Amino acid sequence: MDVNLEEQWIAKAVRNDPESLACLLQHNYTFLYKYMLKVTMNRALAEDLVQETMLKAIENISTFQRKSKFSTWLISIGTRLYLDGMRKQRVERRWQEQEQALRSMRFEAAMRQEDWPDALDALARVGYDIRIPILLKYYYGYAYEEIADWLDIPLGTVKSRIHNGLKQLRKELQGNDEQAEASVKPI
Amino acid sequence: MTNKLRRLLNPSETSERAQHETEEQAKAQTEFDELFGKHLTAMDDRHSPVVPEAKMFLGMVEEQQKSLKKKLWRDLTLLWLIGCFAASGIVLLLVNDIRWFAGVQIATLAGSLIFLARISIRRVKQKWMN
Repeated sequence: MDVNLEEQWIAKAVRNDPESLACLLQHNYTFLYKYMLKVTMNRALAEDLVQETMLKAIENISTFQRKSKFSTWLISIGTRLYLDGMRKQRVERRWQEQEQALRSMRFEAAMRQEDWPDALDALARVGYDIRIPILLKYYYGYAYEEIADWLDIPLGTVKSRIHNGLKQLRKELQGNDEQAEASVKPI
Repeated sequence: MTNKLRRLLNPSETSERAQHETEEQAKAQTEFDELFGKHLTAMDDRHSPVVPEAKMFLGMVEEQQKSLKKKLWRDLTLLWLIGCFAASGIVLLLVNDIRWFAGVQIATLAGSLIFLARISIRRVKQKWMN
């Protein structure tokens, strides 16, 4: 999309122009949905969060300071909404829902005759407090400071979560590979 | 000796550490790309949502703005009603007993100062943590 066009929309939207805001939201819909899907690994939850994020963005558009891109602002809102929701939910229920969502994603992939890679399985199973900073840092390329601000945790905690999380994922994937090799070996 | 002082006295150690950190980050980035990059990109490609029409977004924006305006007016009315009630109480107190009036004013002022101090302490703490 043309950057100037987005800038124009933002300028008008901040001044309370519904049409420009609608255009901005429409153009960032796919990006936001894909981000929420990777963060939640749950289609239904991702759809709900996209809608909630958009409503929050409409509510707070006048406070958008244009220091970052509009899409960055949206995913910061979405991340906070997701974290709030997860903190309110009981661990057991959270785990059950995550398992169910993961099963349905795997099923969908199988229906389309596609692989559901171990890497995505491992990423989905790791806690959301680890998955989010890892995705934000390495997939989206945000700075540690921005991630710390969105997650409302100290900078050191973000760094250690990313470092330890990646180590944990590496170990899990290596374990999976060894298991697969052992099952293939002839007796 | 604090870390800050040590860094000031030994800048080469700081730059070495920064370089080491950058190298570690680049290594981690490469590892992430190898392990997850292509899978996440494929996932992005597979799950492209059907984007609703512009009309639907416009409807959502207008409806939300309308309901926000309604909520704002409701809150403002409530605020004015409570304000009127509190102000008339204070005037009544001033007419009847000036000592009680002074006590209530001091307590209100102290309460608001404590509240403001707590907010700024929390802000400074958060800034310091990062």
